[in-house]
Amino acid sequence: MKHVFFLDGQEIPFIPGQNVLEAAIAAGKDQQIPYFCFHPALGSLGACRQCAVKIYAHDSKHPPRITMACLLPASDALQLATLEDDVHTEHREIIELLMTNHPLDCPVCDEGGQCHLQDMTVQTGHSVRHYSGPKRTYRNQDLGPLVYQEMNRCITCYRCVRFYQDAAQGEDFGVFGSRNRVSFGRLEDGPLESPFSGNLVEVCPTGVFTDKVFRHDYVRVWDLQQGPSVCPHCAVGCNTTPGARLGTLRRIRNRIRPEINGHFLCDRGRYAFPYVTANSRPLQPRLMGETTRQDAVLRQLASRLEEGRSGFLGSPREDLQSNLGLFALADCLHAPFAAVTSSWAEALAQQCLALPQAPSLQEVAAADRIVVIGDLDSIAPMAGFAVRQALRQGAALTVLASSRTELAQKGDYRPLRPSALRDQVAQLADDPCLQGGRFPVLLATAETLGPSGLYALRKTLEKLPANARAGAFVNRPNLFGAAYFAADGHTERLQQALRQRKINHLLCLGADPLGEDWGAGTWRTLAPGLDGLTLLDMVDSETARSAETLIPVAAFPERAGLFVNYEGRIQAFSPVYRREAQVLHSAVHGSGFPEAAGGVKHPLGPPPPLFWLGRLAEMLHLHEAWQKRLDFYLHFLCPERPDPEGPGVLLPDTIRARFEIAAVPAARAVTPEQWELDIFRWYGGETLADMADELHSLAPARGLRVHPNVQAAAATLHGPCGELRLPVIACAEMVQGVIAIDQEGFAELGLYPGDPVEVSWEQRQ
Amino acid sequence: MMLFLMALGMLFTTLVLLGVAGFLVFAERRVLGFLQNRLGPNRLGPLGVGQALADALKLMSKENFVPDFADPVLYRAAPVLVAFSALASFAVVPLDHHFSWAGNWNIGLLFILAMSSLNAYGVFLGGWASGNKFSLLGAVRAVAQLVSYELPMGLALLGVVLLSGSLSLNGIVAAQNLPYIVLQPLGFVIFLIAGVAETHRLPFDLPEAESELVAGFNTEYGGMRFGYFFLGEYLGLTLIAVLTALLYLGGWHGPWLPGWIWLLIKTAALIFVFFWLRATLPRPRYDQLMALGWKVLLPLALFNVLATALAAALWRLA
Amino acid sequence: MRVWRNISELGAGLWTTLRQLGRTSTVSYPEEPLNLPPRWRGRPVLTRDPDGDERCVACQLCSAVCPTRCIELQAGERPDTRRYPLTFRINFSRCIFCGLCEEACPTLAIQLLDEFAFSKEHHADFIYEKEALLIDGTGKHPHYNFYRHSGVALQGKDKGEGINEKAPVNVRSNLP
Repeated sequence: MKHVFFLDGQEIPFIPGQNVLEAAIAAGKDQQIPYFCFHPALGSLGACRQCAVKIYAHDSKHPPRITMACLLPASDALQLATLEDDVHTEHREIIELLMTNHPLDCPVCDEGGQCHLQDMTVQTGHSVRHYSGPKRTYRNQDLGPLVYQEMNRCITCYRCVRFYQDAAQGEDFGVFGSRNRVSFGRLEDGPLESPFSGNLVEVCPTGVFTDKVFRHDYVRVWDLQQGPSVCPHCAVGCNTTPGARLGTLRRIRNRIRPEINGHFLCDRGRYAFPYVTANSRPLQPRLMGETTRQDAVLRQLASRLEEGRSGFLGSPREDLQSNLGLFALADCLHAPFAAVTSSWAEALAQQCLALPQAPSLQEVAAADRIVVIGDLDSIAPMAGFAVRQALRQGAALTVLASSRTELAQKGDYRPLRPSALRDQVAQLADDPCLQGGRFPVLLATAETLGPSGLYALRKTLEKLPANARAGAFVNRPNLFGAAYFAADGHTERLQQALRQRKINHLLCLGADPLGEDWGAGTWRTLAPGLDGLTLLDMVDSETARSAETLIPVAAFPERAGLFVNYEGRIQAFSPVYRREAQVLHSAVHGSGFPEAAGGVKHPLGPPPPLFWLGRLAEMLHLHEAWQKRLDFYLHFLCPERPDPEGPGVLLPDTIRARFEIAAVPAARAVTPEQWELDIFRWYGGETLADMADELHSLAPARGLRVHPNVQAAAATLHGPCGELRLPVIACAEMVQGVIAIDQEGFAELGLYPGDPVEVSWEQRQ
Repeated sequence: MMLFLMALGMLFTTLVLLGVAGFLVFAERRVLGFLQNRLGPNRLGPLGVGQALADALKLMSKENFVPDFADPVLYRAAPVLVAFSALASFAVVPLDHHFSWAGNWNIGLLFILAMSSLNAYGVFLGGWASGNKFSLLGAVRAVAQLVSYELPMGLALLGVVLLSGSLSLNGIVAAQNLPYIVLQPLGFVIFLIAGVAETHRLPFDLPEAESELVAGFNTEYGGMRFGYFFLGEYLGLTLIAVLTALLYLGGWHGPWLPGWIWLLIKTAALIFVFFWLRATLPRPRYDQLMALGWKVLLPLALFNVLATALAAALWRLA
Repeated sequence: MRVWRNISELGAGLWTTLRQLGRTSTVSYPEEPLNLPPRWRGRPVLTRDPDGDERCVACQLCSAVCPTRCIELQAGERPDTRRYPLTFRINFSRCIFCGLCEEACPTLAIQLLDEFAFSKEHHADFIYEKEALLIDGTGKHPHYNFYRHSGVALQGKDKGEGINEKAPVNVRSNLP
């Protein structure tokens, strides 16, 4: 049955449970009902008194009355009116009250052009301030490098607090003061601690909270080139809308995708984009450290490949098509190819892909029994956000980790050494924490759990009720895409070929085998056997600096491509803008304008990897074969191309089934006396995100995180590939006997999470 | 030797006349400008006098062009005919007592009438030979207009001839103890209107009629051929002004100043009147033009002749 | 009667034209200077506030309203958090002098001069950069200073020091 109520005599359809405002907005009637405190994801509050509608009683005894649409549940045959004088007067006068203290600084306000208050003021027709008394003012707080506060603009709709405290469950932001002195902020100046603080910018209907990174290079929203894109900073694949102008990326905003990120985005997704504009980003091809022309580099590379002694290395950081292009080229040349840099990561990828269909974040938010393994917030913050939403609905949370993470404080925390995780996971099926649940969900950080842990997780899942789901997260956008190529032993074979001098050249795509990728230690020992290394990448990584040939590629918002997220959802992103060198000061007339108008032509940004690979295939006279293979693989993986505006396409189950037979990974035994390694990450840490200055300024110090009972100033760790000396950081939340280090440290040592390590402590002087 | 000097003098006169015509083109533009709250051409030379020279140079430097569809001989001959007939008329025009090239020719008036008819041929042939419908319409209009207005003009002149008893211009001027404008006011008006129509100037410029016929008979003309038509028109204008001055305003008669200066002043004033008319009056419709000629001017002119003759007879009797 | 009326009308017409002799509406520009009205719309410039600082705060309303899209600017931020245009270009080969930018400007920074006759050999020379647009004066509005009215703090102007503002609120107080 179709439910409708009547607004100004027009039928408005609604779903039972919706309020009148929600239904009216969905029906496109938001021009008739202004609102402030209502937010689709935060719900109704009735605080702003703005969404007044007139309700007519069905009988003639009661006169019509004015009520708030956001607090009025929609019901059948409701008679409502907004186009009447008293309703309109109510709207206008409430706006006027909200505007009495408004500082009228729209010209210097970053919200201008996307300001809800501006829209509503214009919509209701309020234009003259009748109150001529002095205005209330506030002092602003410094909320860190990401969010800028201008408290004078506040209309006290409480959306920020409702988001920060209720939805994101952050604790360092709140409401202060009383009566008309209400203020929103932290207790004292300092960066916001929540990994979701950037959403304040989008949630705030006025300009109290604005984007501080965007502020440094500001343009009005109407001048931005925008398009649908997908966040490349973790496996969740949140949908984003990058905005660019004059050939440079200026900001990232959330794009609503109910299945994944809903209305919000984490700070990594929002503030990591400056890698695109970083000064260190390579834009010209480099040969032996010297900038050269495209064709010179291509000729050099083609002659290398013609020798037939090249290996190929893909990356879970690059998109699906580029990896496929590289794979197809390797296939044409019968050269060894690997998609990941170590056998351990290969096993990890296989085990991830072998897991049955993971829950979407929307489903996670609806779960009632949740087990989180590892520090989920620091790998995939939006997954952590979905867990918080489930907690708000009363879900029971159990966290298995080696440190008391923020999520662990909100649920049942079980401190565990990484090596114990696997056994614990294997026993979860009978654990009370999952009993009695309607919809249990297990979320793991793949690297902490390791391949054997993921295998145990899969086995546990088989014992759980059929609707139980599990998901594994990494901070690479395309692990599943890369996992598709990660057949058994590919990486080992590539390394073996290098060891046996069958190949002397490595063509890498977006990988950092000499820097911080898993297994980099091994690659470093093999590096002397390489005559040359060619890298196609968009950041200035360790490998890029030492590569013989560096080929720059377009950043993700500059090109089209496909990412496969942790659920196996293939999502397309489309090019948003063309990169150009930004011209700021121009002594020469006309620079910045087209050549025809007398302007100077700027070097365009580098082309995408597929362009380079296609040119290479052409120069090797393999183009037809290469193209055929590329098309074939692509068609096999995703028979129907996802629409960048749409929800994406899930990988077919047949592809998962191929990986269920993968070998059971062996786990290394650790005795309780040994020191054990765990991975330490923070929510803004990721290869590309590390290039973003503002976000990176919040990064915690590098060091060995251990329990405070260790009385040492520094320590040296000994691994099979090298040693690592770092200062000790005492961390009350760590489990005893565990040392947490970052991925770079693992790469230097040649070890993996859960491995035992030899430590030599240096006592404090 | 005498012949050579005469030829030299004729050449000089011709050049002076052409110069005068050229200057009139400029003068008209400026006078029109002043009458219409404008300035007119004032860029080249003092007061913009150089504009006349610039126009002449422009016309002379243009391509000598004969359209494919035109009759080449007549097309070339027509402008020459126009300019020649206008110039030739001046042979009998005296500037002072017995000071004209043709001397005191006793049929000077008839010669001028003949030459002005020839002028009409030039216009007609030019329009016809162009082979263009606008030109042809202009030519047809020119012929009809000339035929219609030559008659009142001739009849108006009869009044003057009756009073002076002479066809020689010298004789007529000499007979004017009182300017004939006093004795022949009606004749003067008719002659002036017919004169304007003869030279097909505004408001009687129907053969050209820019707003209807592009440029009428000279649509297809350009460069110096167009220049000849143009010169012809302004020479005709000068001629009518001189004739009016001679026939009705007492010619060179006048106190204090030498005779030729008096004639010059009177002529210039009349030329200004023509410019003034152009600045003021709109162009009538073609049928109105014909109606004016045949239904108003012709009866009036006949009445003028009869009245003059009657008055002269009564005068004799008295 | 009709004839007399026609003739008198003819005479009236002639008299009307003759009366115009010696009068003229033409101004011999450029020999004679033009007397332009004060609100003449010529070339826009960027003005300064009474304190000598640039008025433009790079709000981009002028470029948004410009019907020919001839204004292009990039906002920058000074160390004292004051916004200013890092670059400001007007392409005068596209400008139609409609004055919408002046109307839209909330800080009265962009103002139209009476300069209208400027010609160049190349289109590129019509692209005026900020250096060519910024003048050392307040233009038509000598007293207006946007920052005194708007409630943002600057170096040298704290919250509450603007026109019609109260001192900043003590948010820690719970007194009624």
